[in-house]
Amino acid sequence: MIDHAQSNAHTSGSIPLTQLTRGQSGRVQIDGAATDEIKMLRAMGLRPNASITMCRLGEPCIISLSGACGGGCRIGLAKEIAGRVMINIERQSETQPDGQSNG
Amino acid sequence: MPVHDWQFWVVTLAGLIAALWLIRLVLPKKSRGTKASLTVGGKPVGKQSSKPKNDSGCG
Amino acid sequence: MSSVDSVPEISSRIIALLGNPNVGKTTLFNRIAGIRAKTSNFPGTTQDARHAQCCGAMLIDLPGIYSLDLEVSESVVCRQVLDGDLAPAGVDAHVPNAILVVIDATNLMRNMTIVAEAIAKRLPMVVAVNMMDLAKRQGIHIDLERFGECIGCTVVGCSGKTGEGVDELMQALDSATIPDRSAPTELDAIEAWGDDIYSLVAAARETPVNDRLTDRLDRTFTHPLLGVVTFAVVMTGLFWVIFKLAAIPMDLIDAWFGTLGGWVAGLLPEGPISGLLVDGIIAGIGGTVIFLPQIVLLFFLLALLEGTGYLARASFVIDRVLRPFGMSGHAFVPLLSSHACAIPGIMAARSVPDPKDRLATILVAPFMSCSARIPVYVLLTVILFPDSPGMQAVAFTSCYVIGVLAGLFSSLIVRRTILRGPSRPMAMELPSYRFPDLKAAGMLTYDRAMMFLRKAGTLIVAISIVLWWLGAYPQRPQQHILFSEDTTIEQQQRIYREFDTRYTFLGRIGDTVQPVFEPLGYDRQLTIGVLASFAAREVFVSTMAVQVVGSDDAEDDSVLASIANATRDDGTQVFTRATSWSLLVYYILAMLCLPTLVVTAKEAGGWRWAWLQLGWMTLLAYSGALIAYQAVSLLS
Repeated sequence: MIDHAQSNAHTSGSIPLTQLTRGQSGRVQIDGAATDEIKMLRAMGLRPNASITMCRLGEPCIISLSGACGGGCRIGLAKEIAGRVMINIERQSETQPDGQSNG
Repeated sequence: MPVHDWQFWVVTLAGLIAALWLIRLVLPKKSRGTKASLTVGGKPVGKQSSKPKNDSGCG
Repeated sequence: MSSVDSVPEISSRIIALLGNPNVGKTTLFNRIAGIRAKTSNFPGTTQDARHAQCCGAMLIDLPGIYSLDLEVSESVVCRQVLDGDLAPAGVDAHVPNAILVVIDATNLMRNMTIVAEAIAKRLPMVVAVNMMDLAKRQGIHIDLERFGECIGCTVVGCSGKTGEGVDELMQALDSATIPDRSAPTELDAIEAWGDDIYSLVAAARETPVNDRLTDRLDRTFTHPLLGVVTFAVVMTGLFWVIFKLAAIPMDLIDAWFGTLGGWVAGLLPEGPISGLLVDGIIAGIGGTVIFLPQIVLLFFLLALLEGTGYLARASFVIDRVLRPFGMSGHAFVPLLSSHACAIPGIMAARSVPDPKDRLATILVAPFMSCSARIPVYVLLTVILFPDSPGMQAVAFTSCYVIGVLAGLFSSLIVRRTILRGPSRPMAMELPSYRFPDLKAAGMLTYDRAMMFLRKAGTLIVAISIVLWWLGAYPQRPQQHILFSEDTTIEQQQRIYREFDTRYTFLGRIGDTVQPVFEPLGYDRQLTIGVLASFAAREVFVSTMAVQVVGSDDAEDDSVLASIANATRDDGTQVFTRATSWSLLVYYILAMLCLPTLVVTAKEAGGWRWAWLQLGWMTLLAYSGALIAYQAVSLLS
């Protein structure tokens, strides 16, 4: 939980998913109303602080839910939706790809 | 119309049954209470399940 | 609640399988249920219901959902089943006796949402952690016992693919209990709860392997250029295989039904009953069954393609093309399937999430040139380009292209007028690339084929009976016609046939309706052919054959040649260039299939949609054919 607090402290720079570069990782930031679309995305795995990696830019936007799932989970998003998902870029100092697992 | 031909009546009966069956398909369903199938308005179907009790989370 | 007093022969115990999409739930279900699995409908909805009576209970495979709390139709159905309000057709609905939650070992964290929601239902429950074999390969280790302690019910590791753990799973289901721990119900709390449990029970390798290959394939398949090229290649290959491979069984079926007809005709004395059986019922059934090879092949190959994971990527490629016209990438499979037959295609539209997108897909699906149009296309392209197989092929392909364009155009209009609103953008999980499950593909294909036979078959038989009767009565009283000396026997026979036909109800309808088709260049015989096609499009060729030659052997080259050279009542050619073009355009665009109309009405939720479809397509077909006829007449 401490990790989340730290990354929240750097939140000023949250950007839309569409502005990530390929291979860049970040954590999902959800704020605002829980629309149907947001509920669906959350249920699919794009939940607050979920760690994602950008695999393909453009239309469609393909991201992988990195860590925490053996890397086997990819989601394709139309650019329109991707533009509405906000991401906190994480500093690369803390090694967090599998921050949740405790071995 | 060969009304004297018994075969005529057999095939006519078959034709009538088939025709009635087809007409029944086209007519609007009267008695069957269909639950709302997919509508353009996209309204959800059925009642909401009651919220389960809010127990303390598992650890 | 179903009556407790009734003593059911079949156990009324219900076990519901719940889980995310792509977790192998269906594979697991197939492994448990085997061939006892049946597919029907959830009444009042458009969701498929896979169920099986097995192991002392009615197993219901619920649609895969990410959460019970969404407003998509799949989640609604799952909620209703779990509340005891809904069950597959023919099953008494009551609250399930147990829930089997199927989760993916390689994607545990996300699956915790549905686990929490299932726990909140307070029903006896077992959790099946599926794909353990895959997890092992990826270096993911899960402490199943600890997991069970955390959530308070039995957790069994298994693999639907290899069968490992399935027996243990069935035993656990027999002794399933309500979880003795509870789970949070609010989304943020659920996610935190899931994270905590995950951190306690799962251990994953640092860097996932094989990602680069997946990345590269993804980028290729969704590339604006390469993706489209790949798509074109795959689709061309698909269609080529279907047409080529299906030809053999189709010929066999054709021959078999011909033999059957001949046998029955020989068995019964000549008369109306024999006629009804042979020319009405057997011909009708044969006309339906003959498309089975193409339908079976298409669905099987599509299921395989989907199993590899390619289709999900291709859907995004197609989405780019379809969205400006008001449909989404999810419409891809329904529209593709409609090229075999619109009936399974329209039913496949159930997978389109957005209601308006889905309705648009259903409405325009019949524009995709189905297999039944092929005999007509072949006849007319041969007539139009008798000496040029190259041009025949070009014309043939153009028919398909025109159909697709008409569909896109119609969708555009519908989405700007009655179904206004933007097309929902796609968000879809991309399953990992893998070798497809042949058995699952086979079972899916079987289900779809049976559904096609039931829906289309019954309708076509009924229509064939009615049409046969209308074409057989009233019978013209025997009269001798005085012919001039230079008429040949053939001409005399033709004239007798013509009089016979015009005397029947069908003939009289043809005579009455013919003026409507006059501007399109159709004579009485063509009008009757078009009317008869309303039962099933391919009937056109045999109807023409009967009128022209007296024989309905549509395969016979001489018969086809006779049709091509047929003359009207006034002696001129029936199939002039202008008429042939007009007829071709008409067949591409016309809604000539009553069974499809019925399915549209059912799937779209009302006959007004079917009438709209019929009206619009008829309008388009008539105008198109009119323009074609007048234009070609003017130019020649």
